[in-house]
Amino acid sequence: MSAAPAVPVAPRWRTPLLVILAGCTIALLNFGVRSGFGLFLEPISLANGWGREIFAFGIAIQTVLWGFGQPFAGAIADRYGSARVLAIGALLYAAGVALTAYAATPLMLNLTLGVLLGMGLAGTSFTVALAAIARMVSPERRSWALGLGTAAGSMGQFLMVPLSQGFIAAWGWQVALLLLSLFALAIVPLSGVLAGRAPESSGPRQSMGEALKEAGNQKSYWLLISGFFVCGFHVSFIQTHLPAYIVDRGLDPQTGAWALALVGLANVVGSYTAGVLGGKRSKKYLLSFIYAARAVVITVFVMLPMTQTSVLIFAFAMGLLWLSTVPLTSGLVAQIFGPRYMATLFGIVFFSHQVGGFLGVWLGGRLFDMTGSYDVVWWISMALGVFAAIVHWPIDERPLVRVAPAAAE
Amino acid sequence: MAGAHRLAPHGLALAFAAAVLLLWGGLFGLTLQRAALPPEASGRVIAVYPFGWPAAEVTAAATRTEARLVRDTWLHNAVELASDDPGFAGRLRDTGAIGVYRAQPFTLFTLAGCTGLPPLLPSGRRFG
Repeated sequence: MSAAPAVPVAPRWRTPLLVILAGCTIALLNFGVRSGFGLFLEPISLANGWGREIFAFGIAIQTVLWGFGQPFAGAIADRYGSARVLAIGALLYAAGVALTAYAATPLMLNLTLGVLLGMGLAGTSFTVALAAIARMVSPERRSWALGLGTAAGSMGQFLMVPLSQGFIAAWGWQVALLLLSLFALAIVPLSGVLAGRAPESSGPRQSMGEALKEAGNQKSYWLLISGFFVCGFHVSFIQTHLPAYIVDRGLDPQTGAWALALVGLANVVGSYTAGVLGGKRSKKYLLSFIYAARAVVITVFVMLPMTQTSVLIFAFAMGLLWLSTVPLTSGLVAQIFGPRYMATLFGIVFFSHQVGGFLGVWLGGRLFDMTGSYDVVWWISMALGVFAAIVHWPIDERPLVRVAPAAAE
Repeated sequence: MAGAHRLAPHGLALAFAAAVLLLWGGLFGLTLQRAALPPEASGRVIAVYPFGWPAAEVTAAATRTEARLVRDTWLHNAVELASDDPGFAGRLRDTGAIGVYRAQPFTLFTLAGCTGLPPLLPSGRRFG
């Protein structure tokens, strides 16, 4: 470690307000545009005479690259600045969406929908945008800003799906993809507002390797990683398997559709509220509460007789607890380790979320096939909720104190 | 960071949400207008009736065109129908439909997930 150099001063026009608005819009576009991809499964498959597996494989490649790419995109953002990563990510994102419209072979689809989009999503992801927001606002406003950024992403998801559908209906799926690529392209000018690297907040200067080593030696960091794994498991399992579970229990399929829409709507409120509360209360206790509440909600839902009302109440409650973990978890990373390497460190935590998501989807199907019901997975979800509530409790959320080595005489 | 102290947090959040909704509403309205089928169109369509119409009244109005009812949708005031007779969309409008659109595989399922794909459903079932 060496003494901190002079910190470059941000231009006067780059105010926290502008940074927050730009970051929120980027989160909205990043999350929103990709949310509608499922709508293109049928038209693309029909137009090319493919089975659904080809489109699904493209999405699978995209998801893997998105998850794996986030820590690397975060590291590049921390090293060279968020704006470059966001701008290049947006170009890849836009190119991926636009070229998917012209993919006439499975290989082309894998390269566009899979590789280009996966890399673009990683470059413009939550981790990079939220880290840029976190480092530009004062610590006392950080949690609120992260909550707003997460809520904006959730709102994008809720609003862009019907809009994408409207585009398909009005202009056909190919023009719809080109229009959506323009939305992704809009991230490029917005990324300029998030230019610059984080200043060294206090203490000695730290390299990325030192920051990673430091985080790796902190029990709290591993506890955060384990907790966020559970978030990914819950969210992906419920999103993928809840409608089938509801139908299996004898309810109208439309109840499942409304339930997931309600989750999406409540998620906007939950994310923002969690961010606001995180600025006033202990983030680790709030996370413990959220995971414990998920365990309780799941238990009550599974044990009580299922009715349309109980499903909608469950959906609303889960929606409030859905991505409310994001501003608190990302906020804790910034609070403990400082914002300098937040994109890298939160990117690694987010990767754990994606691994949990993979297991939630896959185990849900696997255990259903083995046992003939979702009961085992629900109980695993409940147990994981309790586990996550417990592991967040001992996290030491005080900022790390770094001491510079004594200068050589 | 002096600017941060001048922010009214909830006001800013509401203003951001309002601006996004306004922009979205305009775009969505324009898109719906463009997506509406001309009166001479036929085939598989979604007919949207005024909000507040009971489902039974919607079904009765739509089937007066002698079209085949494909399915109900997640909105009580919209039904999916099919007919190959020319002028089908116009006849639906004559029964009170405020909009007639080409049937699309839209579902609410994708609104809450992280994958952008609709969830698994019991085999053989397709709905929206």
